[in-house]
Amino acid sequence: MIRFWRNLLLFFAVLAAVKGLVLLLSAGYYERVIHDTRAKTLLLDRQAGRINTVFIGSSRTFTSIDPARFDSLTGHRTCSFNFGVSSFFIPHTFRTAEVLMARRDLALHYLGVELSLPRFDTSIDPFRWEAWEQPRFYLPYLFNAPPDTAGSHSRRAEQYLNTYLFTLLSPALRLRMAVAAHTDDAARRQQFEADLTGSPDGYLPDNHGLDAGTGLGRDSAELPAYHSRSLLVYSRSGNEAVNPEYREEIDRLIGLAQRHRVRLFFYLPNRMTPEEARALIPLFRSIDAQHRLHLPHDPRFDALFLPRFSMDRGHVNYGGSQIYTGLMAEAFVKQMVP
Amino acid sequence: MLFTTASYFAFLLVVLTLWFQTPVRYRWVVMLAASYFFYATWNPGFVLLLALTTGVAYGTALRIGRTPDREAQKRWLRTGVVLVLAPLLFYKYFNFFSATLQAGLKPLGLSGFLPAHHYLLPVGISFYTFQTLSYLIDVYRGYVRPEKHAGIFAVYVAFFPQLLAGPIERGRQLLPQWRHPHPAFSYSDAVAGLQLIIWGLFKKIVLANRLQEYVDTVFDQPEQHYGLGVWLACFFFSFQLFCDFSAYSDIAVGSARMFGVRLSQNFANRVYASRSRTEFWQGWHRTLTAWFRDYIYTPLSKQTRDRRVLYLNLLVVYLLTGLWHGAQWGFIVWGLLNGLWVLTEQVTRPARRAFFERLGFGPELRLHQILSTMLVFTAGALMGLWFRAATFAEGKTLFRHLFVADWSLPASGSSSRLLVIVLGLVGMDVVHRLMDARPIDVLLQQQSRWVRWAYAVGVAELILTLGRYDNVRFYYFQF
Repeated sequence: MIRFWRNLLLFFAVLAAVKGLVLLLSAGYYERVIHDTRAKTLLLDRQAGRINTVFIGSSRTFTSIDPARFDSLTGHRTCSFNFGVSSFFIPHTFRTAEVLMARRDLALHYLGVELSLPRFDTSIDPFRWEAWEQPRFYLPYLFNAPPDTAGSHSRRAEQYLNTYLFTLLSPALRLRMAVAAHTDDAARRQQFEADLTGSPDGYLPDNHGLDAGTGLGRDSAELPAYHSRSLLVYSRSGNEAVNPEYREEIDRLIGLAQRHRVRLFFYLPNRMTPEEARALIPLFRSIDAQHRLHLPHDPRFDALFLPRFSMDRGHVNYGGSQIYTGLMAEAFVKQMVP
Repeated sequence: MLFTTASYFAFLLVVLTLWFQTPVRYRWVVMLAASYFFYATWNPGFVLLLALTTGVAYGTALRIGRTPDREAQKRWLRTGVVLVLAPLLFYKYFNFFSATLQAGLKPLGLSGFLPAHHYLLPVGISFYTFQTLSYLIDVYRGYVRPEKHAGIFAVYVAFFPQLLAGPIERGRQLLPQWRHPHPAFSYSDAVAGLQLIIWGLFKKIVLANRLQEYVDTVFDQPEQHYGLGVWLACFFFSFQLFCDFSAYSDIAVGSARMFGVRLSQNFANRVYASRSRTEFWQGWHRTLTAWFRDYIYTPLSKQTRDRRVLYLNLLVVYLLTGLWHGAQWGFIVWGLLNGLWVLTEQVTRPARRAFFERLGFGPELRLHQILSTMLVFTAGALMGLWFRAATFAEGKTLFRHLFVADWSLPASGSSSRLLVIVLGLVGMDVVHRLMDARPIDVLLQQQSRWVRWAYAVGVAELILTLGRYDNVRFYYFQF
């Protein structure tokens, strides 16, 4: 059996060596574009000193908050930037918020952070520095999960382990990026970079980069369910369990914001999976009113879930983003601006 | 815990180490604990059902073995079969039959009785139920003596590599291996097992999952796809099903092999290239096909020589094969279509042969064989449409859309994605041709050490580089 174990270890060593070689050979190619959070940071850096409001979140933020419209609706009291990135969830979002708040070169007054659940069933780019920090948040989070969600969390744990291990080893994503970054087709290259960063203010006005398949299709049948889940935030709260680890992270971030004199607020994603609704709505309610952006419930909110304002079941389209940004700006002026 | 996960691999290695560190007489404890733990990771509640089924079959088989009277044996067999089948019938078929019955009785004003249940179908129930039934019937027939050791029998039913989706093993094949396990660790068995597992992972993670991306796009939105897109989805689904299910079997056989346990080869390597549906069914899900042959077709047919009755029995077997997959009209249609096709092949074989030979285009000609393969594959793909469609109505929609002249493909059918799929399938077929009828470990045994290492590292790199990890469930788990 010793021989078997020895050869098995040797097998993994050879596998890692070949992977390492491929990484070394391809590293120079993807450096420029692979770090989608870095690409976004670079975009922000170019406007440092001007931007005073940043929204950090997943693709739902990326596609639904239009900074230009937001600023016009706040009477240009804000100069905002969309730091939405595909598959960008807690703890990465919180860590980014922490970093941005600590930066002295940014004239940051307002910082909005989308609440999300840690997700590990989508590809994690191992070269996002945050990927290496995941266990620090995730393991205590899992440990503190309320009993009713323990089952789904254990499945998540398995997905996490899988995705994390495989992605750390796999150069596939990087090779794909390398090919895309090195293409001679300038238009395609620009398109590719725009997929990562969106327009100069960080907003992604259409669906490029987010494989929307052939449109809504069967997804449209699921929109009412997304709608009714989002409406739960307007119903009366009961005795709802919140994950203490998550709550602690929120408090820590609020503390940091106070120290850095940044007005921090959290908001819910505009499309929530059942699991997100179960976990995030109670969490959102547990945050004091001055640190959460509560959207008004009116027909505009309901319209967000109509097929004509949807890119797919999880994202609004351009029309939806204009409505959503309007609602956000209205709530922002009412709740955040003195 | 899925076969394609890192946690399964860690689990496998831990159990393997424990197994060979434990004295032979107590090894069943290790395997039983590991298998029940494995099953509990899916749904702890269903472990009880598995234990109950095991207990019923164990007790009934002992009763059959102890009773000298044939009639009494038959009564015990019937009792055992009913009790073992009951959970499967309840979980899998109750809703379908109650809905069908109520629909039938609605014109008489009778409705509202037998309300549908909303319980989840226990994973693997069709497989372990059929394995347990085969044991009971074999004990009754005297092919296998009743297992007296309850622990060993429980391991036979619950052995984790084959628990969720087979192969459906017979008692006479597997029980002796549990009674007398390999006392010492075998390096060559462990390596052969790993070679099979790697090949299975390639077929599942690289091929089946990539094929599924395309197939799901079309089958999940049947109203939006026409013509070429639907044809391609049907062809791809045939390959997806093969890559998915045979991958599961390879990993199951490979995992078992690491413990020195030999499981049946459930698939012919190039079953997708069969020249007739009859040949196809000889190489597809062999252990289930053999089950229906031995426990349904043969008993039904042994009293008769009337061809019409034999043909009817054949149809019954294919209908039940369809129904085994689930209580849906799509599966029933798929089963019947397969039965009719096989029946037609058998009835017309002499006439077809004479016809083609008169034309100078006999079955021994290469072109004839190629065209037969294409025809049979296409027919299988069209039957598969009913198998994959979520509902019978969606099956009809897709079938209509096949005949619409539309050459566009959905976004998931982009040229780069198709290229990877096609190259992967061609690569798989090349390896299968090299394997001929042998499993991959036997082929590799005949190669040099360098080739074996190149295979392991190369295929693992392909899995890590080209794999898709989102669609992790195996297709046959739903059955």
